[in-house]
Amino acid sequence: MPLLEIENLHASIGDKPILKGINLTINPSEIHAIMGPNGSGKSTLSYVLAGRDGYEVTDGDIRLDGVSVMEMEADERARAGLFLAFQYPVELPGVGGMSFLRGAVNARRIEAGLGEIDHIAFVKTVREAANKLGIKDDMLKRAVNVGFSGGEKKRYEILQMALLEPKMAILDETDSGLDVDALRIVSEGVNALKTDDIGVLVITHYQRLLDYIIPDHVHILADGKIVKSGDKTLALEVEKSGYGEFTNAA
Amino acid sequence: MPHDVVSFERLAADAASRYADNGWPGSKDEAWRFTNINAIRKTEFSPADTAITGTSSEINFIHFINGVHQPIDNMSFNDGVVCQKLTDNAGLSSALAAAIPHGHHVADFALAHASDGLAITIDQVVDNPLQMIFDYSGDGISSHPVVVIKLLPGAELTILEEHKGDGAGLSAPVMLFCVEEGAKLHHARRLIESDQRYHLGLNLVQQKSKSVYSGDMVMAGGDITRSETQVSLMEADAQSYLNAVYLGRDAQMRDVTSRIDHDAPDCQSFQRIHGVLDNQSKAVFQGKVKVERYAQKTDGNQMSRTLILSREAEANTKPELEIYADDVTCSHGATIGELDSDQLFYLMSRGIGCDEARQMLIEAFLVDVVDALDDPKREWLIEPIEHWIKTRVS
Repeated sequence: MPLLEIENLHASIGDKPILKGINLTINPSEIHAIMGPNGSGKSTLSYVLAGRDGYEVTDGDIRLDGVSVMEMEADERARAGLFLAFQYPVELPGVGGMSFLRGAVNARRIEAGLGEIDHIAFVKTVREAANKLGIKDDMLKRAVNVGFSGGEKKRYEILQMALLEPKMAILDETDSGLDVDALRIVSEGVNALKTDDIGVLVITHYQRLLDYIIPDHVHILADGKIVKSGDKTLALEVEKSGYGEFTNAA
Repeated sequence: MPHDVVSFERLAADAASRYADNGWPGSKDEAWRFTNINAIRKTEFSPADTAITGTSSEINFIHFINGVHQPIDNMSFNDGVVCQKLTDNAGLSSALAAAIPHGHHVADFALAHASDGLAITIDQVVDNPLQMIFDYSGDGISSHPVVVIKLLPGAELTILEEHKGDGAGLSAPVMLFCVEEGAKLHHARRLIESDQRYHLGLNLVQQKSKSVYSGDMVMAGGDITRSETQVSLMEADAQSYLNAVYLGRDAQMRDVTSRIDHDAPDCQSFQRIHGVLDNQSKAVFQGKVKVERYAQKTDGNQMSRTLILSREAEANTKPELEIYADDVTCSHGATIGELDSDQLFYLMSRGIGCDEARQMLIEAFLVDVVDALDDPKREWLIEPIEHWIKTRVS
């Protein structure tokens, strides 16, 4: 069964249509990349998939594991196994990192009928996962994303992803603001999570992230529609000749 | 500063005659513009005739019931703490008489009806906190506890002050804190009276050179609750911190009023006020900072932030800066807003339910004000905040 099915998805902000009929199917263990110029609807797509308020879905359907998520709030979608790594992770002053991570993990565990996670075991799990991503202990003690550099915020997103073990991960412009070293660490983090079942959707403007996270399929998004799909060579083509051809086509 | 000697009896009699002339503040009174006290004005309150006989084995424990304190024979204190009746301490009753702001309706009402008060002198660093518990009960009863606390030079004290209880009554505590040279007073307060009570409190703080006053208040209870703090920075290099959290719901009224007089150079004052309003509750923060001509190098900061959880709630902020010195740093800021939708979405996108996410953000916003405190003060102040968030209606 496909993991994620996006079918004829139309979405608007206010009266303005942004997504104009997107069709995309992602199977378990596949990595898909959506590339597109600014304003093509990339971020809107990630928010609509994650269930953010403020977007009106005017037509179409989104199914996770064959079940429509259209009536689910963002938190229900997350507990169903959808994860969005934010382009701009949000600072939460006063919300301690550890209690945030534990709250998120417990929400999923309770939904799955498992009890709350053991405190001490959890701290150990978090430390190990953080260590692999080059996240210092001191960062874990701070309030969520407060005082983190751009690169630290992106690593922290991947840490959350590792702890939440989603079925389907959406990475929204995860490469923006990262230097080459950080990009490598983050990508290794993503690749390490790739098990037999997880699906990954990488949303990006530039091709360079795809040197590290190798996609099985690449789609070009322009003016709210997927205008071309191909394999990883499509990304290289875009890198060479830009988006002009596709925006004109759209 | 020498005062005329004024006995407590004389102080009370003078206040009674002023109260007879002036009564309660009217709606045209600027200091009460946003705080409707018609419900209080219309009620005939009478003072309690409670005689307290209880004893307490706890050290540094002061217990007032309906404004009347337990007999001082029954109290035990650390070395360095001397507790007397205010009627037996002409020095501190005179200090209070001199400190009462001219034409202050609530102070006059309270002192006119108070039968006595406590005068506490601290002359060294006291390790155990001084607990002051004010219990109230009964309908139509007004309570007017009066406490004067003087920290002699170099003394240090932590006060945990709590106002609690029920009954449709009025609490009008009047307190004066004299913080002498180099002394440090940490003053934590929680106002957690039941939802039908009225509370109109006045705190007066007088600071000498190099003294530090840190006031941290959580205002979580009562129907109409007002806390007014007036700080006089009388000598150089004194520091004052006023932190407050207020919580309102239903049709409650919350009023945090402050006045800081910078009367000497090189003093600092910092005020942080965070409030959360739900349902049709209303609040006002009015903070006046007055910097005299000779109070150069003053640093005065004031920040008020209010979180509105309902469209019908109303927050007013009224900063007033009156500055006559030319070499000062003074700032004020005020924000009134809803929960941040980006933050809410971020939490929900991690699987945390909407209600829990909202609670986390409200708690983070409020706890921020007292987070830097050491335990047990921190825990003691956070407890009513957490309780309020858990029992919030919407």
